[in-house]
Amino acid sequence: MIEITNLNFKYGKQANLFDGLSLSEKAGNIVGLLGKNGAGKSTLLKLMTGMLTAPKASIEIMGETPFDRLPRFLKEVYFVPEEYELPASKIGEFVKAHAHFYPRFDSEKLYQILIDFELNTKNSLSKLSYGQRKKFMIAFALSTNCKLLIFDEPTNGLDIPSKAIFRKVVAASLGEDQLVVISTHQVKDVENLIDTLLILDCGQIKMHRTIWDIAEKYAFITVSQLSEGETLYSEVAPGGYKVIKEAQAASTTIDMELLFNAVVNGVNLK
Amino acid sequence: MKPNQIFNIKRFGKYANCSLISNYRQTILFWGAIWFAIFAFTLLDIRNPHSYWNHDGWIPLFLVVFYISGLLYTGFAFPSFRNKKRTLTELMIPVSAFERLLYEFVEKILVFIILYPAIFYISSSMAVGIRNAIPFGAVHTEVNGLTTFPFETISFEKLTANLEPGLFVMLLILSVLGFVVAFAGAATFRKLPLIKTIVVVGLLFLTGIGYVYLLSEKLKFRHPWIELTEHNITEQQGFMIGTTVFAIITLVALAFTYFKLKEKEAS
Repeated sequence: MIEITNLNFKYGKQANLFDGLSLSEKAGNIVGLLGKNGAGKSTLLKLMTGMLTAPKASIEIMGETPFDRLPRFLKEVYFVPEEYELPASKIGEFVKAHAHFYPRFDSEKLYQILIDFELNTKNSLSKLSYGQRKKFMIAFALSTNCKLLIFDEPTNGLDIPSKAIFRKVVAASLGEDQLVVISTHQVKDVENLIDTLLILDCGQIKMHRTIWDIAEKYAFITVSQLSEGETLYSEVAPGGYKVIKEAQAASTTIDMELLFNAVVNGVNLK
Repeated sequence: MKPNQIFNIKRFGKYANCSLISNYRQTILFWGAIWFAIFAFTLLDIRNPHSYWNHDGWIPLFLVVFYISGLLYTGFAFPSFRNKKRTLTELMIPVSAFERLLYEFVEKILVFIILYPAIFYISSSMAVGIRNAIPFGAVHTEVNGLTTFPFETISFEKLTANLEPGLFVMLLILSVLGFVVAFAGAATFRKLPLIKTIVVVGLLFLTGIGYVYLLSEKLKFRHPWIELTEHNITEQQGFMIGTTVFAIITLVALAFTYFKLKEKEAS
């Protein structure tokens, strides 16, 4: 579904944000795109959706060049950016105006998610808080049933119960032909949701693996003393150290934050 | 690319519906402001007992409000592009650049040109009617007497009465050209689009005039074609040439707007 080859990109006269980045991703996954602030996560998402162009790169999404912004492409892609401005209309009016662009739009799903998020179609979008507007956008995006759903920092501004609902509704409402890309720097928020991990750092993809692959190869444990030789990466933690080792027996729960820190600190996790 | 991906009437209808729902408050506000401006200026204009409103005194007001409001309306076309966040939301709507352009052209230029005379007619007539109903003095209405509600006193035929037919068409195309240039500016500049457009067009115009002046006055260059056209064309042919030139520039400005929309980014 996503095929990016040799992507070089920079804003104006700034240094290159991406240097020959390549990426391939199939439908049926929930991809977590992690990276530090300024790593280029939002830019990569905008390039995927055709909001920006990189003329020399080959970017194909569902067989289309995103920047052509053909209607047949746009009706299969929904992007919830980190920051957006909605018209000063009611939720119901917005839905009425936009839903018919998406052939697989599911009104029932929308109303169910709105109920989960405690939103009402009579609410005026301009009077909603930032977090409530984000919840509405998430609900609308999921209801479009687009083949590619992209969320940029979706949990920013959500309260704790809403983050749990977000994970629940995303996991519950996706089909096999859909791909979800969730960009975040709040690693904990997407734990137990994503099935593929993509770590972006210094203009390159530093890790692109499935959660099962990671769980199979590495053990994430807490120890009181560090032992030489076995530790791939460690961090001081209350009562000892959090450690990444090569897995030997039963798989452990992935500590996404520890893994992320290991990758961006240059640890080579083969 | 399939033609369906450039224009589809059903999708265009959905987009028109979506834009109307999203922007109807601003549209109502704009037309309300026009209505009020015409109403207020008409009242001010006719407060003088010697007002010549019923002859063709309304024409300057009609034209001034037409051009100013038209330029303001078209100069702020593509309202989503004034703001980075709304630009992204707008560009993600599944319509083609051509459909986006066509919708704004119809709403901001065609509908404006058609609706404005009607709004002017109703608003100024209401102002005159109210003024006539007030007992201290009344508007001189030669046609219908002092207290007649004067819908009939505005005749749009007066707009063209003293104009050659060719000149009227040329001026109409020139008006559309002015609006389309403002429209192109709205697609190009994010902040202060109308002011920036006026500055750019002014600079281009002055450059053109300066170039012609340099050629003809300083370098004494006289192309044979200039001599030919100066002495051998009738007034009507001149209007036709003017109309054609303005129409071509209008089409070029529209094509420029289209490519600006195609290349628009939401950074």
